[in-house]
Amino acid sequence: MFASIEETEDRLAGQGYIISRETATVVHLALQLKKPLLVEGPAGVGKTELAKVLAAAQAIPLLRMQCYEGLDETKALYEWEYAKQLLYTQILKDKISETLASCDTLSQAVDGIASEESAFFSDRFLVERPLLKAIRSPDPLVLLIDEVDKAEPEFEAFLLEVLSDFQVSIPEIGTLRARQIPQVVLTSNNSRELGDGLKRRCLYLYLDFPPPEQEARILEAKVPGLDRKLVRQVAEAVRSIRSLDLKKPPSIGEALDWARTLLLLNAGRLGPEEIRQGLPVLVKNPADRDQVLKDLGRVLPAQPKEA
Amino acid sequence: MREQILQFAELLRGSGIRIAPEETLDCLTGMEHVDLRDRNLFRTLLRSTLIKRAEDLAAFERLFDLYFRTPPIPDEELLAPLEETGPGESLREILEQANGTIPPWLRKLALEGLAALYADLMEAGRQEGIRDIRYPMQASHYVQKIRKALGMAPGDGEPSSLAEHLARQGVSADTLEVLERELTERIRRFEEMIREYVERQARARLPTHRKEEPDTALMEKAFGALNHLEIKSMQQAVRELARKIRDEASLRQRRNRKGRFSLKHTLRRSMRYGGLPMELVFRKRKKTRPRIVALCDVSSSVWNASRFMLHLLYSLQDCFDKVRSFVFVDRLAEVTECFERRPVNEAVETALNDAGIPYNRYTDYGSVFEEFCREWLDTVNRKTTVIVIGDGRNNFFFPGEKDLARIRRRARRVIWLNPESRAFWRFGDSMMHRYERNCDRVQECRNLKQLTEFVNELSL
Repeated sequence: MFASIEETEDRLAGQGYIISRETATVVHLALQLKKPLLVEGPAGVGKTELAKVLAAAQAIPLLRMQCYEGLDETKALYEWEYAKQLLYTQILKDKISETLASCDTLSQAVDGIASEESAFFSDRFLVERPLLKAIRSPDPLVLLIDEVDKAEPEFEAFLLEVLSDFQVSIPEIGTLRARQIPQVVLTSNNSRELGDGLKRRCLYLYLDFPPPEQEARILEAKVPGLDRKLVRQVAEAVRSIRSLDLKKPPSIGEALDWARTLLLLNAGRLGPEEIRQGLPVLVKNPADRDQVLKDLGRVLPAQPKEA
Repeated sequence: MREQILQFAELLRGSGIRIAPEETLDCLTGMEHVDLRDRNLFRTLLRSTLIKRAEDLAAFERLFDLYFRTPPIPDEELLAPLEETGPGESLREILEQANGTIPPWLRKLALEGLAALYADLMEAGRQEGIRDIRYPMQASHYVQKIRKALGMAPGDGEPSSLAEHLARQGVSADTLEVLERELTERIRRFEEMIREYVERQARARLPTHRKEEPDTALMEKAFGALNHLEIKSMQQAVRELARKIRDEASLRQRRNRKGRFSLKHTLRRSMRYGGLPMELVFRKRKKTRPRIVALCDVSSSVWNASRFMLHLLYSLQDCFDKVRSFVFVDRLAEVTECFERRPVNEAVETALNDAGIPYNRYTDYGSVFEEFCREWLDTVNRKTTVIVIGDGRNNFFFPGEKDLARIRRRARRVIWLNPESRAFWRFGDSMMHRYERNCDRVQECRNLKQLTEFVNELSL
C-alpha cells in the first residue's frame, strides 16, 4: 500500500513501469478504497504488467488467474478431490463397516454415515483454486484476473459475488470470509462487453498507448545504453506506425524488442533500412507489413538537416 | 462539492451513461484521497469511479469540460468581504444594525463576500429545479426564478438604498463613494455569476437530449438518402451490428458445446472408479460453422446500399470461417480474398470500384446467375445459406430464374435482401416477383432498422 499518488508513481517506476499521473491516481484510489481495478485498453499496453508490477513494488505475492472460455467455479474457486475421497473410502472400508457394525437397520446406518460426513467434506479434500486461495491467504496479495472478457457471462456473475463481499460459500463447509481484502486487478480486451454489475464494483482504468514522451521514458528505463536521440525517434516512429490502419498495432513490448534490436545492431540513427530490419519485431501480419512499407515516409522521423 | 458531483452524475445519466448509486458513493469516498484542487486529479477521480465503458469516455470528457468549466473567478478582493478591502471600520456594525432596511443578500455580499453568496446561489438553483432546464432559451426564466429565491428585487436600485442608509448613519461622503463603487462592481459580478451558472447548466444538458433523435431517424432513413456525414455514423452502426452477430454466434456455440448425455462413455469411464459412475460424459456437439455465399449487386442504382452491405459482409467474413463474397453488375467477381487481406474501408472501395468487372454496364441478374452456376456452383452445398443483395431490376434482360432455382436446390436456403421499397417491386423492370418464387425468403432491406431486424432473425 502506498501513502500517496506520488509514491505510487515512484514505486512503480522503481520497477521499471512508467505511468502517467492519471494512471497512478486511479491505482492509488483503488488501493485506498479497497476496490477491484478493471483495466481495459488495446492489446499490449501493459495491462497485465500493471498487476505484476503492483505486486513486485509492494513485495507481496501475485496470484494469477487466466480466464478462458469454459472456465468455471471448479477451476477458479475450489473443487472436491473426488479421486482422493474415493481412495480414502476404499482404504477405510474396514473402518467404515466397523462403524456401521452396531447399526441394526438401514436408516441407522445411513444416519451413521451422515454423522461422519464432515470427515469426507473437509479441508483435506478441498482443492483450492486461485480465487479461494486469494481469499484465504492471511497475508496481503495481488490477485490478477486476466482477460476476464474471455470467460462466460455466468462466470462473471459468480465472480461478482466473490468480489463484492470477499466471501465464498461452500455448501458442505459453510461461508469462508476473507482474512484480508486482496488487491484485485482485472484486465479485459473488450472482446465482449462486461456486465454492469461487475463493472459497478470496480474502478475503471482505460490504458491507452502512451504518448511518445512517456514511451521514450519506458524505453530508456528498460533498454539502457541506447542513445537518447534514437530513443526519441523510436518512440515517434512507433507512434506513427500505430496511427496507420493496422490489424494489430505494435505493443509496448514490441517497441522494447525493437529498441533492443537497434542496440544489438549498433544503429546510430533511424533510417528506412533500420525500420525495414525492425519490421519482423514490430508487425506480425503480412498485410500490416505491406501497409507499413507503403507508408514508410510517414513513419520515418523528419531527418535533421545535415550540413 | 458533493452536491456538484451528484448533479454531475445526474447529468451523465441524462446523456445515457448508466451510473449506479454505488459508483457515486465511491466517487465521494474517493474525494478524501485526492487533492481536489488539482483539476486533473479531480477529473481522474470522477472518470475512474463513474465511467466504466471506453465508449463513454468521450462523452464524459465533453461534459466534464462543460460542467466544471472553471467559472471566471472574480478577483480575489472581490471575493472577500467588503470590510477587509475597503472602508472597514464601523461598516459591520452599521450594516448589522441596518437589519430590515437593506436586503439580506446585499448585506451578505458586503459582509461575507461573493464566495459565500455563491453557495446560496447553488442552493437556490437546486430549489428552483435547475436540473429541469433543457434549453439555453429557458435561461432568463431561471435567472428570474433564482433572483427571486435569493430575495433580489427585479430592479437594481439597491446599492443606492444602501448608500442612503449609510449616509443617514453618518458615513462620510468620501467613504460612501468608494463603498458605492465597490459594491456596484460586486453586484454586477454577482449578476454575471447567476447568469453564467444558469447557462452552464443549460448548455451541459442540451446535447444529451438531442442525442437520441437523429439515431432513430437514421435507423429508418433509406440507404440511398443518406448524406456524407450520415454515412460515417452508419458505418459505425453497421460495425456494431456485426459485433453483435459475432457475440451471439459465439454464445450459441458455447450453449451448444455440452451435448447430450452419453451412457456408453459414462459406463466406460466408471470402470476407473470401480463401477461407480463418478464422471458423467456428454457427447460433444459438432460446432456448426455457418457457410454463407453472398452475391452483392454493386451497380450504380443500389450503390449506397451495397456499400453498407459490403461493410456487413466484411464483418461477417471476420466472424465466420466460411463466407464467400461476390460482387456483380453483369459479370461476377469474388472478393473474399480482398476482404481478408485489406482493411475494411479499402476493401469496400475495391469491391465497389476495382474488383475486375466492368462497372459501367447494366445489371443483368440472368447472366450473373448463369455465370455462378457455371463457375461456382460447387461452392454451394446443403449447408450453405446463399444471400443475394440487389434490387432485382434486370433492365429487361433475360431474368434467368431457372438458374436461381438450381442454386436453391443445392443450398440450404436462398435469402434475397432488396434495398428497394416493396411497393415498387412489381413495376418497371423489377423481376422480384419472379425471383421471389425461387427464394426461401425475400426481405425488404432499405434501412438500418430492417437490416438489424434481418440480422437478429438470421440464425446462421
